Order: sequence, then structure tokens, then C-alpha cells
Amino acid sequence: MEPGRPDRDTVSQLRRGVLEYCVLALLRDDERYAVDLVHALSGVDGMVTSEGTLYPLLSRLRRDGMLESSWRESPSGPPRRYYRVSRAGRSALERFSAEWSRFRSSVDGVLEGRV
Amino acid sequence: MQTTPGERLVHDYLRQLERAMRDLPRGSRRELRADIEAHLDDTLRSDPSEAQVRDALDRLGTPEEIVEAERERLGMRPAKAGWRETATVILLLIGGLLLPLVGWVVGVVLLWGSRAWTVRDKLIGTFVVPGGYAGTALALTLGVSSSSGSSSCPTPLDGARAVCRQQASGGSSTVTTILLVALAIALLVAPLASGLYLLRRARPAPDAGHGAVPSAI
Repeated sequence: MEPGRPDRDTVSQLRRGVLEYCVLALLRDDERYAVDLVHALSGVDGMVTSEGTLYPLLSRLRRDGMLESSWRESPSGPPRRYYRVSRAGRSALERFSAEWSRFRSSVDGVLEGRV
Repeated sequence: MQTTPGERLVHDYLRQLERAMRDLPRGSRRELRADIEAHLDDTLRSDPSEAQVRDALDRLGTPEEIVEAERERLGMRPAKAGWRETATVILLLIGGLLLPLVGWVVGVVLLWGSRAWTVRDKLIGTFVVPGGYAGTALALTLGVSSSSGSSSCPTPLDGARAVCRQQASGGSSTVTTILLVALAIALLVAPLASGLYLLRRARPAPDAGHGAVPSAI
């Protein structure tokens, strides 16, 4: 095993785990169309390495009932798919947010030697 | 209609995507392609420059990466050449030599029973070359015996045979010999090539993230 590998794997698994909640959070207040959402996510540092891989995630969230989507005509160019968070998605996001802040401060505590 | 370099890049990208998606269910193939196409349509509006197209494609990531994410979503095992796939390929190649006919047939049964390959891969694995190296050996033996049968050389002494045949039958036979040699080389190379192809196809696209996936978590 090459040195450096495990770190990157750990980080990419962590990222994979939290990414879907970041999608839900970005849609919390507003609906967005796909490209807008994808660009917003990839603009967050260290979040997404390739934008295309977000589309499978979006389909999964849609199929799991976390997101709803509809196609709408765009003022310029082809129709766009808009996403918004469903009721189930909203409550999943709330649960995760609570869990996350607990988890984050625990990990920080351990890493900084406060335990 | 003239295609710009940018359009060609997008076209190639989508074709590569199709190829990478081959083993996905039809529904997700269609949806993923529609999503990516809509993304590109939306990102690249009104006559984008080639640099803009390249940039958009870079940001999307490689088709293989995207398809890998889709595979994960579907809970599809990343097809990987494990011991079973390796054994299948070995049996296809030399099974017929180890155990005439039976060895290769077992390889074919394993090949068609596996989910690591598409139907196209399986057809290639079966018919290039039927019997694997046993098939090659059989074809070569038949070829040599039939061509030496037609030789006009009266005393086919082992070492002198080839030389004698060439001298006896002249130009047209030289062409035949060249064709036969080419065919023999093709028969020798083809099984190996199709075996390597199968091993490569059974593995997910090369990607830095793969190889050592921690089993913990």
C-alpha cells in the first residue's frame, strides 16, 4: 500500500457520507436547477472532485424520496430540471445536522487532546 | 453542417459515456445520459470556445468516474477481475489443452454464468478463438498437414520440407505461405488478446481511489 493512500480514502469516504446532506442543505430554502446546484457544490472547497458524479447522487436522493424534481422551461435554452427538498428530506437533514454538530465537537475534542 | 472542435469533444465525451455505461440497466443509462447532456447544454450556451468546452468536461470528470458513482448508487458490485474471473480466462485460453474440449467448455460455462462481463464480452470470449489455444493448435495442425499434403516435394524430409515446397511451387505458393503464416500468427495472438481484453473489461476503470479500499467502517 502506498503511503498517503489511507488518508485520502478516509477523507473521500467521509465526503461521500456527508455530501448528500450538503445537497439537502443547499436546497433547504430555495429550489435550484441541476447545474446551479452542481456548481454551488463544486464551489465549496474540497467537496466535489468531479461534478458529473453528483448526478447519480441526485437520482438516488430523488428515488429515496429526499428530493423532488420537475422540469421547467428556461428563459434561454433547453428546459431545466429543478430540485427541491421533500418533507422526508427536510427531517433527514434536521436529524443529520444535530448529529453532525455533536460528532464534530467530539472528534475535535479527541484530536485536540481535550479528552 | 460543420462541426466545431467543441462539438466534437462533447460528442466524443458522450460516446465514451455510453461505452462506460454499457452494463448499467437501461433506465439509469437513459437518465444519466439525459442529466449529463442537459448539464452540458446548460453550461455551454451560445457558441462556446473550445477552451470552455474542455473546461466544462474537465469539471464533469471522466465518464468512467461518473459511471462508477452510478454503479455505486445501484449497489452494483464494482466488477473486478477476482480469482473467479482469472480462472475463467485461464480455462478459456488453455483449458482445452489441459483437458481436451472439457476444459474450454467449463471456461465458457463460467464465462456466461459470470456477471462481470457484458454479452458482447462473452461473445468475444467464446468465439475468439473457439477452443482457446487448443483450437489454435488444432487449426495449425490441420493447416500444416493439409499444406504439406499438397506439397509437390517427393521426399518430405523434416528439415528440408519447407525449403523444398517453396522451391517446387514458385510464386503463388509464396503468397499462400505468407497468408498461412499471417493466419498462424493471428491464431496465436487472438486468444491471448481476447483473454487480456476480458481481464481488462472485468475490472473497473483505472482510478486512484481503487485498489486498497479499507474494509473497516
